Amino acid sequence: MALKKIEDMNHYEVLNINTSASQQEIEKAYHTSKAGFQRNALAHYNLVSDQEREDMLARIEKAYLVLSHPRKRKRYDLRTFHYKTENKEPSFFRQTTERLVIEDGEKKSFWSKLKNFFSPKNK
Amino acid sequence: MLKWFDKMDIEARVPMLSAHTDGHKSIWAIGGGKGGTGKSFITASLGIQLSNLGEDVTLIDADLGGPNLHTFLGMEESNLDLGHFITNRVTKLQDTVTFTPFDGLKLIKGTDNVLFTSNLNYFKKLKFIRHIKAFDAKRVIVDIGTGTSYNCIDFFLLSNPGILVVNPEPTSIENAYYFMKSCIIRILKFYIDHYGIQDLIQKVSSHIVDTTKSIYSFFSEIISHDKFYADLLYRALRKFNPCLIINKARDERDMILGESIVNVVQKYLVIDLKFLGAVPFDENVHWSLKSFTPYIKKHPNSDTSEAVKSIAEKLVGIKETKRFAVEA
Repeated sequence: MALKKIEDMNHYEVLNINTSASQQEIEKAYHTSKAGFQRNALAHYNLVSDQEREDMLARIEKAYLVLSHPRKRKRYDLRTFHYKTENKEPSFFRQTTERLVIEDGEKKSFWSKLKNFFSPKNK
Repeated sequence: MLKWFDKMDIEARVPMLSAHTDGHKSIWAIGGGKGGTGKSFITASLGIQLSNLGEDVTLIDADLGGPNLHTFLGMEESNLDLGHFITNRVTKLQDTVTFTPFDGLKLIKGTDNVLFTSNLNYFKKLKFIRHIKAFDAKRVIVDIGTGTSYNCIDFFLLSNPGILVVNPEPTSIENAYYFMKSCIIRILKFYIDHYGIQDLIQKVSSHIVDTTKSIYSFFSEIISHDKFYADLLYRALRKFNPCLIINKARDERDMILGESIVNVVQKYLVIDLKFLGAVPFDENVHWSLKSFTPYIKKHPNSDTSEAVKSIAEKLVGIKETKRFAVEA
């Protein structure tokens, strides 16, 4: 585990759970974390300043809001870990309206080689 | 950048940082900062429960200022005690062992002569630590005193792991945090001195706001100044993994408190604390003590006894890891 500032922690790190945590584990972690940072909680007594406590409580709420909602969690995981980018399915329709220029790879490489050969740099 | 020879020797040079490497042996220290949290009760009860599990256990009463572990075991006199070792009347710590009424459970009784032993000098402390580490027993449990003196901290650091006994009360939690912070600062100090980075630390310390009390603030600031040394110190600290017992738990909230403390400590003291469990409050502990009978013996099936048993089982299952080795 690398040294990380609290503001750089992801939602899973805030709730102290694995990225594969079940909804039940998220629920439990949320309640435990929240209980520790409530105003009158003993767990943070004389260790955490009021500002730090409030900031952390807000982070816990935000983490729970995202992770407890399967669709939001999926979107968050995609954005945070990018693990789906390699397995992304190709779109059925084109995503842009720009003109497509299809070139023959073989031909292009031949012409570019020829051009490089006669370019002034090679002389 | 560090040279290879700069990274060596810290473990060899500082006995408190060099844990025993024998995987078949455990040294557990019971501490917590505040007095009256039940450290000696937990030590005695764990010892009995471990001996019930067939373990070979030796309890060492290292509460140099006020030893009373023997009373929790229902014992009064012994020919030899820790004082004989500290004042050089016996050469080996092993020679001061006393047998208890429980199979497989032995005790090194604290000394009545507290005037000469409560303030151990540095060399006597190192000798004591060396003998504890070389002690010939599978499980050694060291009951350490209250407060955050170097003696208490160093006895706690030599163990693997150290166990904090905390009550669900603000005073106890406050003292436990002082105790953990003292341990952390002691470890960091060893490494800061070793790497000669006092100037950097001084520069970092001047930027930390006075109102922040956590070790996280220190690390958060040092990352901005020097990521390399921040990582180095952080890695040294990650080897310090104490455990937590909530003693005298009275309701469900006290039971959950342990998990919450683990969460807070992980974020703001930057260490991994393992929660071993909560031990319910039982008025009979008081009555057992008054009758000089070990509580576990008198109430073997109570919730409190069962909780201690469960903690003993967890401890036996804890895998010992080599601590404080600098990985960089």
